[in-house]
Amino acid sequence: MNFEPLKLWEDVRNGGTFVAFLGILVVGGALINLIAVYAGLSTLIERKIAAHMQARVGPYRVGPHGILQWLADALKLMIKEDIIAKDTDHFLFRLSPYVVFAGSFACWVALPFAPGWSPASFNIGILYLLAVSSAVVIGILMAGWASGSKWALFGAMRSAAQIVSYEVPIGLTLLSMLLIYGTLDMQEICYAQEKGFLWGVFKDTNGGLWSWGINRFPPFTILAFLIYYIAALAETNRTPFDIPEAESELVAGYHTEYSGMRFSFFFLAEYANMFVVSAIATTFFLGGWNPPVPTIPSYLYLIVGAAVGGGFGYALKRRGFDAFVGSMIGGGIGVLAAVIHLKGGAPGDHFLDSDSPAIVKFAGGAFWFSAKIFALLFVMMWLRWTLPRYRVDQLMDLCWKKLTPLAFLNLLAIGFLTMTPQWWARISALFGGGGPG
Amino acid sequence: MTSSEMVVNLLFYVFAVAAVAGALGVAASRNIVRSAFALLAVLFSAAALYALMKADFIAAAQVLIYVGGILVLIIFAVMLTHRITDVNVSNESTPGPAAFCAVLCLLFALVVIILPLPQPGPNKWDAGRAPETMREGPYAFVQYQADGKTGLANGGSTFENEVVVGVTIPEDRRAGLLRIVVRAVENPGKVKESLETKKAPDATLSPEKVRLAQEEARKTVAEPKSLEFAATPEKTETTHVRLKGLREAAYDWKVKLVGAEGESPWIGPKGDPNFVVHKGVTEPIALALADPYLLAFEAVSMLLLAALVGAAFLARKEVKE
Repeated sequence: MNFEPLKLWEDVRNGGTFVAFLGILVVGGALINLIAVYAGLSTLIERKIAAHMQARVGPYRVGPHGILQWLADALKLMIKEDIIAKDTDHFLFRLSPYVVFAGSFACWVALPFAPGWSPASFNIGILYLLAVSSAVVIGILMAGWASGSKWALFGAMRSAAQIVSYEVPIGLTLLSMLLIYGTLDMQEICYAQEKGFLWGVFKDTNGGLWSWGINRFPPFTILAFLIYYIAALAETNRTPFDIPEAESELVAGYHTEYSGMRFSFFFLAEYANMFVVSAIATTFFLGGWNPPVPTIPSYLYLIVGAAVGGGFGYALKRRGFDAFVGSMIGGGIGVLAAVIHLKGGAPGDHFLDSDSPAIVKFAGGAFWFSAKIFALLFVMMWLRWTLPRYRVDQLMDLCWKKLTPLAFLNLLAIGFLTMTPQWWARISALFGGGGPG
Repeated sequence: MTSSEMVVNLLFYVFAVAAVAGALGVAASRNIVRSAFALLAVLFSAAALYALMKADFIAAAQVLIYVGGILVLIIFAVMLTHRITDVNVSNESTPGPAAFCAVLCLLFALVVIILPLPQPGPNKWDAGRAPETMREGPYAFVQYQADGKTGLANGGSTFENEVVVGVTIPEDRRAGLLRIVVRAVENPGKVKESLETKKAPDATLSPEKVRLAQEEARKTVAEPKSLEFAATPEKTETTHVRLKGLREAAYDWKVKLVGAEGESPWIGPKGDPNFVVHKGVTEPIALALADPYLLAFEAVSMLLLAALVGAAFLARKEVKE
């Protein structure tokens, strides 16, 4: 059995069954729950990272090592009073959290979670993502204006100006990568990073890490990744670009007047947005669901997995963790490596092979995709506790005078490099030779 | 009407009502910020209507440009104006009846521009083609689009996931016929090929590049599927077999006749009948917008001009005497 991409929406539109329509609702409901759990866990991770960077322990009371703190937080937010101040525009005030959340939620359906598996398959992939995420800006402006408070309005204006500005370098870097892939479909972009090597040599070789987009035309694609990542930080209002919600200047920015469940919608949307920008970075630059290791025999993965797991467990034990935790983590890594490559057979076998069982493909793809995303999220959280905040003018200066021109030059360079095979063919045709093409 | 047609119709009415209600909100609200936000409902509903018409690209472009760009700009501009509530947006220097006549004239002009436009006729995307009969011995075969009437040329493209095959069998061979089976086999590599040939031939396309493109296409269609569809023979000469649930690929097909005493071999007309199923309709829409509907498309920009003039009027400083 093989996983078909979910084409529920196509089915409905082409006169399929009513079941497909119900399927859309089920998939949507499942995704909302996934976002809620993910956002809860990331708040916990963020608080833990913050605490450890400041030599504190962080949340420690609810559950072992405080790992259930996010459930307690969610419960608290749900039962808190929903305050709507007198001077607000009531209708827009109530509406805006949903607009913001819908904008980031709609992005999730186009993400390529595993080979051939996205909640919905679009051939316009990245264009759809850029389009629906614009609802977030509108929602933030709506919240800021409807609050009837100067702090909220300032925060909203700053946020909208920032997001609209930083969409330029984001669009340019994604465009330069699209020149390489030649498709807007997120799944096909992942497939395109399965093979190839630096500067397009060894087209048919799976080079693992070296086949990823970031290593396609090295100095330029790496630069594109850095520009994208910096702009994505600004796009999600994360430190060092968190001037829309600068605590020392604006209380809390555009959501100053919100409380309880409505506030938590903004919160969810912010974390969902962080996930989406990291997922786009993963898809375009870090190979999507492709593993970082090239195709080598499966049993090697088992050996390496067990060795790494054991070493990690031993290292944890040396650091003073109890032996149980160390062995659990080490064993977990070993088992995970085994599960992902649970398939004997000929050397060169890989979970991406078309005859792998669907569940192996899904588990392997989803594991690598989310592992890369969480690595990028970790860097975002790390930066938050490392860098001070930019000033408004510095922020605009960085975007328009540094990142945007750099992204333009980068686009030219990558365009030039992608065209070289054609030019080479043309030049060699002039001299009567076949040319390597 | 099938249940899913009902769903699509219901969605259409929901978004149509939302679009009209939003437009009324834009025009009627006394608060210009609320007007600007009501525009959001209009733009999103219009995008949803495009998506219902399978024009995904137009829907995304609509949201990207109008919501992400123009609407944000409008809201920014509106928030910077000095008076937000209780603005009087009517122009007292023009009497109401005159304005009404002007609107009627504009509407008439638009209708005059749009109505005489050519209807989509036969073009390279095979819309509206007459059916094309293919013969093999005593049999005749015709490919139709999903509606069962429009012809589908050999090697032509369809944007639905259904195709109808008409099989004509002479009287003497129909005795004891139980079933007519059509087998459609995916032909990986043909999708990209057909797209390439439809474009202008590229001199720089090296054999290596073509091979890569075909390999890419093969990967997209991971495992060639073979589908069989059977129909009981109709009373008339021609039996229509509906091929359902086709995915994006090129298909070759053959026909087999199953009788009481045995089966015929796979038969099919010469030159391998085939068709290509496409997922999106971006290219035909682009062609339609750039060719027969160019004037109508450009005329819509007058709307934006009117909006800009209105915004400038609202934003100007009121001169007190």
